[in-house]
Amino acid sequence: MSEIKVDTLTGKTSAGDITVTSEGGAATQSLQQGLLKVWRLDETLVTTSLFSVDSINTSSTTDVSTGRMYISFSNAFAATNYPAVGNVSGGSVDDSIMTHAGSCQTGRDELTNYDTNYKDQPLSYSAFGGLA
Amino acid sequence: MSDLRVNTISASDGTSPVTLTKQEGVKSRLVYAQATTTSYGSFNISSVTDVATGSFTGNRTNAMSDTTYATQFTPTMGYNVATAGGDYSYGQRGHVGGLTASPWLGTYSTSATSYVSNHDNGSFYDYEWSATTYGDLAT
Repeated sequence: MSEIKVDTLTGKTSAGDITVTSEGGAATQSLQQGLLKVWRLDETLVTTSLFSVDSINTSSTTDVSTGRMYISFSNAFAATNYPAVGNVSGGSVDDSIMTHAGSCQTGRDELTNYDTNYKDQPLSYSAFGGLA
Repeated sequence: MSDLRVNTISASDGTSPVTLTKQEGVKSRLVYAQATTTSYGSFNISSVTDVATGSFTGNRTNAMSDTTYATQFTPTMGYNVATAGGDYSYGQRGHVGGLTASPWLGTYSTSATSYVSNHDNGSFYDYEWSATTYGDLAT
């Protein structure tokens, strides 16, 4: 087994594009395009802490109103078409998270949670795509 | 600080994948607006099929190794809950190929995944979605 230990990987031809081989070996894909760019376990909307909040590439959160919040990114996306998925962490089975709700921006996403009415719940969030 | 500049990384045999220690990346991702059948940002998605109201299929460029892969999808902008009169996307289902009742006429295979959602009033709606897939790619 060989192992290279470095602090930074940079594309030679294009700094932001390194190709890796798939698990089965049949395909190659971009390393950067497949990396998770944002994740966050969040309790911004609730007052009782259930777990330790943790995240990568988030700078702050904002409690906008009941069931509605912002997550701001430390490093912004290149465009607003980044996929973003989420779900409540606890709460009702009918709770439904929406991402890119209203004022989605490259540096900030807006999330809502809805079950008959907007509801405050802890949530898990992640986003993918190209950074700026 | 060290900086390694390369175009491609593979295992020492020249063909196998490298190990990202205790980590892995997403294997496909997509933002899709069913109402306008428009694909926005995507990765490893060759095309999207609009199956029926409330159901669409994402077709992958590079297939997964088997059908045990995980998928996740979430409604993403464009749907006005204030005018819908109730919950939205009450049911969110991936891997719907095994179901036969309309509009669950999608595909569940290594090369494609269908998704379907319905409002809690029993009707199906064309939402806008973020969809992701995780697992191993094919040999």
